[in-house]
Amino acid sequence: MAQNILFYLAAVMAVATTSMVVITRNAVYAVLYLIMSLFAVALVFLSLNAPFLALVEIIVYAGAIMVLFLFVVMMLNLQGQRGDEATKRPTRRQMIVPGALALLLLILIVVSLSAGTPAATNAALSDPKLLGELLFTKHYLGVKLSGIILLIGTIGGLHIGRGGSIPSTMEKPIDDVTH
Amino acid sequence: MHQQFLMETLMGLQAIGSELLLVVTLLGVVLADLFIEKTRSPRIAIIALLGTTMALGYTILQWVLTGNDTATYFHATITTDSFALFFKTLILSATVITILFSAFPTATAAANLLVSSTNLLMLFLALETLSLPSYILAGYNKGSRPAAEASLKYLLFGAASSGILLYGLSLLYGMSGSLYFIDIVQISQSNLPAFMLAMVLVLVGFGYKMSAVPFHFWAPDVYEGAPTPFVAYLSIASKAAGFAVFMRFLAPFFGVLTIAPFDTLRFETIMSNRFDLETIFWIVSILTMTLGNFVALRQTDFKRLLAYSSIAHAGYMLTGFVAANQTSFEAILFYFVVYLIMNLGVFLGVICVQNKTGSTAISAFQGVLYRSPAFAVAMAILIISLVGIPPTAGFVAKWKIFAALLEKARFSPLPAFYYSLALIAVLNAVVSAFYYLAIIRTMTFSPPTRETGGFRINVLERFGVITFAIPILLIQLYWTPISALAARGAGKMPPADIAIPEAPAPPLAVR
Repeated sequence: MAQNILFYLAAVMAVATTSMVVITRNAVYAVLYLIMSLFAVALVFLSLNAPFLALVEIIVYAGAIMVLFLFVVMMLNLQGQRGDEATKRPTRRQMIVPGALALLLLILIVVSLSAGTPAATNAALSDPKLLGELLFTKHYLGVKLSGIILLIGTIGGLHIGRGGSIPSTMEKPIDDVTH
Repeated sequence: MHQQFLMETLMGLQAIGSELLLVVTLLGVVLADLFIEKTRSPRIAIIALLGTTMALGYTILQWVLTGNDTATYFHATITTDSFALFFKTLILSATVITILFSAFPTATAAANLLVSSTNLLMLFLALETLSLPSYILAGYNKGSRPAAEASLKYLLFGAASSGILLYGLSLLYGMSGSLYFIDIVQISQSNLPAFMLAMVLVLVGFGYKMSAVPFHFWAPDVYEGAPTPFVAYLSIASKAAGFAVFMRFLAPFFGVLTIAPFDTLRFETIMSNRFDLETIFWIVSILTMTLGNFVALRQTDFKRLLAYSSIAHAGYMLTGFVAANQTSFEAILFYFVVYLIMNLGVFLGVICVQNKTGSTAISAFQGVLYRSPAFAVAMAILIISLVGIPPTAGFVAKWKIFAALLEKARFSPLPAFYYSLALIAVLNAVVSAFYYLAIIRTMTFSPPTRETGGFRINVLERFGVITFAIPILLIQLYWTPISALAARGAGKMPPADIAIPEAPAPPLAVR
């Protein structure tokens, strides 16, 4: 019972703060709301008997990633650039169609899921040791693949971030060899 | 226990050898980029080419040696059956060819893992590993506005559709408690509405990769803005991976059991509880080909036109999902082989002209016939094949797909459902003739203008395009080897009477 109450509290908080992320016009506030939302999601994990996941969520997302995010947002300093698409509040007419679609999707989800099968729970989620074992045996390949994703992300970031134009193999046309 | 695990892992590593080779190539290219002087960048391309060719060789060898091996590896998260190997070969061929086109290093082992995955988690990770380099490559030419626009649009659409896909997958997981495709079939019986909702969400994610309408918006801009060799790669590899993984995902539901690496399924229960995915595919495929073809009519840029044409071709291939049986899946595989040859050929032509004129407009092709008759004729053959007019392989491919549909109609209680789709598809092919043939008209009847008259198509380029055009003609005459490959890919050995070739086998471009 107490778990249920915790879940609903955390869920309402998550929905509310996530909506605020979208609604608020101040980028810094949005990031702060997002951090709150991540804390709420961590609480949801806690109520689902997954303390390890909850901690990881807080440490990795709220702790590490969002701080970086906040740093970038403050560095870019988007404040005060009025007339920018990102900071302009949408008019009521602009909100009608997406709002209606979102409502339709919400109704669909509620109706179809209320027919209800219980959510799958996994004992391994509660125990870091079991989780680690699961990751490095059953999902071994997935872990490796995630590593490759990170590597590709780094290479891509490097390419985009590096200033100036680099002489690259790609810009060389095919007939360079024959000329 | 540990020893057994070690052995299993070693077996698994052997199974994903081609992917490992690609990863090593990726690392090699990154390191080489640091050490080799910038002026000698072709060397990097050679490393990439060597790596991918080795991976291709490994895959073919694997296919030849193991045949239809339905074993699964890494706790049944991936498999290397002949369906996977078929698409791996296809994707790697596309990679090797696009590297040859442009000497640009690409390393996407992801597409390969994708076609092998039998597990939701693997599926999503592989899909992301495929998407990420695609976003970067789309914006490779920094400082170019169209490239930046293409990359950003691609990224935003990709992120949104990945999110929707992930939501669908998590619903499936939540309901079934399993990450394996095969267990998910069970919930289609217990909770149909929720299952349909999740499936539609998943369809959005895959539809994006397949550039199916209404998730196609990224395609024209990416095709126009991104570097042409990458677009050639994208049009084949990304689409093939999307189709392959979707086919594997759906195979258990449609009772095409041979693609599903498990055989514990009760066939009848699935068939009796058939959900209405067919209707969704019927609508999506008609929308996709009709919109693709009609919008293509108004394009003046060759790459944009090819974007819409690729959307239309995705529509034709999607009709195979409506019939959803062994024959139609075979037809989709066959279509991919042909599509690979003709589409890469046309892209090579575009690259040649773009290198000379700096333009990808159709008008840049004016009077190419007077410049280089052989080049123009080869291009014309490839374009005719894209329309699907008889003396080319494109006709055979389309015919196989529509034949599967008609065959399905014969045994269906509702034949009009399939007949109408086949009719619309044929009408679409007629519409597509208008814009494809307009290109041929531009090449032949308009005299070369001042801008377009100045360039020469050199021997290498002429030879390249002809290399693609010849198999297109040969396949029309003798397509047994490729259809046998496709049949093997779809999990069925060809009937004995077809397996013995009577005529001498022509050289195959794709194997």
